[in-house]
Amino acid sequence: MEITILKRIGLPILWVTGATALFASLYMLSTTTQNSEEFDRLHVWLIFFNIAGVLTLMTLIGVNLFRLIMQYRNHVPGSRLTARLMAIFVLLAVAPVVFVFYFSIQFISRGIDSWFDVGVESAMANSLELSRTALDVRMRELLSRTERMAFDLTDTPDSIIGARLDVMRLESGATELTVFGSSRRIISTSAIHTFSIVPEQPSDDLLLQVHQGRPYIGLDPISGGGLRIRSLVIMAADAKMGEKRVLQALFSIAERQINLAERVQNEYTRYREISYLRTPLKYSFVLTLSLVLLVSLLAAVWGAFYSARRLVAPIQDLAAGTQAVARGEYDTRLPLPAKDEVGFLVLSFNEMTSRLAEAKEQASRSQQEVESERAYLEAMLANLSSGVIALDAGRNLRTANSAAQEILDVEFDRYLGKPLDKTAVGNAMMDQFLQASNGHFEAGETVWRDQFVLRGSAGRKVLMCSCTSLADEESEIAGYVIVFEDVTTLLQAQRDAAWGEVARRLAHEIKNPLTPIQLSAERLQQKCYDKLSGKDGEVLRRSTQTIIQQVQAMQSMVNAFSEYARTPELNLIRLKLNHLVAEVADLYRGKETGATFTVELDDNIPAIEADAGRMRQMLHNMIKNALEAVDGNPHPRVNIRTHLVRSQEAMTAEIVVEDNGPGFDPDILSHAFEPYVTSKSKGTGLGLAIVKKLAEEHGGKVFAENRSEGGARLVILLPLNEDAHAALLFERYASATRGGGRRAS
Amino acid sequence: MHVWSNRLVKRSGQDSALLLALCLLPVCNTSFATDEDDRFVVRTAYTELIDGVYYLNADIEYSLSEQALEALQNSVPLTIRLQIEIIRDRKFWWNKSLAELEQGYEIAFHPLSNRYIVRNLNSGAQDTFANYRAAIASLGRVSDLPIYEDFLLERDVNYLVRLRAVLDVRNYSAPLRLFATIWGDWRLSSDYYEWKLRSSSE
Repeated sequence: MEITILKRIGLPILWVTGATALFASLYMLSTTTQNSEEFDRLHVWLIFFNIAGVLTLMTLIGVNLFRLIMQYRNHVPGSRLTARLMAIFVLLAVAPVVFVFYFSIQFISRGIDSWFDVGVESAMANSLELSRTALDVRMRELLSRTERMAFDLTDTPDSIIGARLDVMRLESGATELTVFGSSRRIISTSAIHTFSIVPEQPSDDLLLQVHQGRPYIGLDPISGGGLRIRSLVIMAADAKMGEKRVLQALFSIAERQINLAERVQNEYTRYREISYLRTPLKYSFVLTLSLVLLVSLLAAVWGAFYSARRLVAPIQDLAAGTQAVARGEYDTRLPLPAKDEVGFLVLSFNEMTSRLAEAKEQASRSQQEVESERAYLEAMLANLSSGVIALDAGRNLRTANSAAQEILDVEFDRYLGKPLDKTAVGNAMMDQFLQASNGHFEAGETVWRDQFVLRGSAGRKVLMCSCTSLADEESEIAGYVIVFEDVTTLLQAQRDAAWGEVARRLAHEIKNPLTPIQLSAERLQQKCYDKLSGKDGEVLRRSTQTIIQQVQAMQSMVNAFSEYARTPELNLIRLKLNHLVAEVADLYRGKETGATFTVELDDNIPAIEADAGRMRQMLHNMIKNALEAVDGNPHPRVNIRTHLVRSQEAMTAEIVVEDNGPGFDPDILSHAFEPYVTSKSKGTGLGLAIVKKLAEEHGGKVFAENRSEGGARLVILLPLNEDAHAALLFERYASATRGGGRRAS
Repeated sequence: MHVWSNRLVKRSGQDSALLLALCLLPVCNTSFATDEDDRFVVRTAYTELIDGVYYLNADIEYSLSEQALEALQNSVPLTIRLQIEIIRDRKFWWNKSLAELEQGYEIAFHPLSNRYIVRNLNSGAQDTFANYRAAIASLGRVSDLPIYEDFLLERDVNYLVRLRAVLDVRNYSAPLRLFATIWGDWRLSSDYYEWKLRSSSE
């Protein structure tokens, strides 16, 4: 956030400062070039600063150009437009600048050349020459004077030469007279100014010239300003020493003459200097102008880059935004560039994406609702105890719930989208279901209700079916929904209930008269048998005996029904199941049954809560059923086993009684626990019905099945904890609502 | 007689700017550079210790470039500086500069007298010459120039002296200074001539 603010505020300030500094330095450079002393000392610094500015701008432009080229090559949206705008801007900026630069250079070159007139230069030279000529007349006269003095001094002894020089200096008007011997040795000197200890020394070249026999007279610039005339002549050789001596005379010039001559010389010097500086001045002007124009040009080019980017940026944003929307990113929002036409476009784009996002969200919500409804429907169908099959108009399978799969024993998931008839392959029960339902479809019935009785390997199954057609928007049949319920167990329960009622009625209505009938028959036999004789007495005896036997048979039958119908309170105690089983089995081992008993007991079975008497009765009934089944078998065998079955948290005790008899007839396997369902000649047909009743009273479950190696197997499951109780209760409920499997229960 | 003052000469900011500008103009620099290395040559140089003062004697050969000579003949004075540096010689570390001394001379053409003036910028003394060769030759003879006092030097330390001559363009007007900065013909200087001032054994 802070970085963004710094960037937003700092960068423009930096640019403005840099641009101001650059233009200020250009102004100062321009002023310096015009020979102003104001920024003279900064001149090179200014050149340096401006060159640095030019290099910075060139770097910026180079970077921008490189970036633009890369974007152009990579087909970045907006790069072509930026390049076109750049080309136009640069063309518009460069063309006039180049024209101005060319004509400015021409103007500067010609302008500077025009300052220097040949006539002026000639006049200046003439003036200088005039000054020299004016002085030359005097100098020639002074040279003659010096030569005369030198002649006069010839052969003058050194002892008086000083005095002679003083006189001569006064007479000639010289400011200083000096006689030099060989090697610049000062013989004598006389000067008007006594503060000067050492006389003015001539330079070597002058002495050489004089020794070569050429006297010297010339103007001599004085240190600190001013002029004087220096004259040097050689004296005649000394007679004694033979030494060549030189007389130097210095003469002053009239002050006015000096002023005029120096003024002319100064102007001449200044003109020559300026004239000489013409070329550097031109270069300097050209350099300054070039820098100014280069800076302006580069600034314009960089400005063109900047402007082009600013102009294209919203369009690039729009292009990127459009691509984002195409990808499905409807929450894309673009920054509003300005309140102009492009800004209006961006605003419209943002409104469009906003509405698209709303529509997408709404569609998503609707889809979620549909999904939710569908999930709810699927959950409901999955948990429905009724089987549901949905077909399309061509009776192809669209969906089927798990209850349908369990009832009809078909994996419908494999046949989704395929004709329903395909599901019947290898499944007799499904085949019967299809035949029954196709009968209705082929009869043109779209809404029907029927009860199907299906027979399969697991026994008989009764289904209550109803079919409804589904109509589409054009009221045409779009499909069918078949709902069916396995009512086999329900019917069985109804039968159980009916049998219970029959048993109760029998116990109540028939049992009571039987005793008086038996008593009356016995009394009749007792009273009348002795009074009758012969055949009548025998007839009476046999008849009453028959009545008594039949009444006793009826009583035993009624007792059995009474036993089946009675529902006394359970007397639950904690007992060890294995002990009970072993005790009951031992009773039969001792009898003359002829069957081989094997008992396998699982020691892990804990003590259970049960009614000991009823448990005994249940075991008796099961063993008796097994013994009756093996009657007639040369090697009768009865196996009794107990097991502890663990399934997750549930613990169940399993009691299994197996025989090697003929097994259950498949037709009656599903009814094995119903009263009066038996394939045996003996018995009441209530044994297994009572077993089932007692097992269910203990919260357990019983089922019967045929063994693969031959014979029948009866299994009782008794819950040992709450989880097992709940699981068995659920299984019983499920089998009561959906019907059993292959095993009768 | 030369008048000297022992002062440390700081390189001015303008010098640095010139160097920077030169660095920024390598192409330009190379294009206009000429064989200026041999323009100024210190032929010989030595010091003499007289009465506790070291005196410099040197023979320097000056050869002006065409540009400089043209400027001189067009009344533009030339300034030549003798740069003398006294260095403490150290064996295991970089040498340390003890003092930098500078002696300036100006050579100018005097049109009225048609003579060349050589002026000592430190003392103000001047000589005139009929031609520039004589003036330059005079400039190249340095004799008995006092440079340092012996008592300022430490015992048992080696000292070096080095000398070079440089054409000074710093005081020209802006256009000529820029011109002189860029053009090699104007950058006239000699190599440093170095010799032992005093060894530790002395």
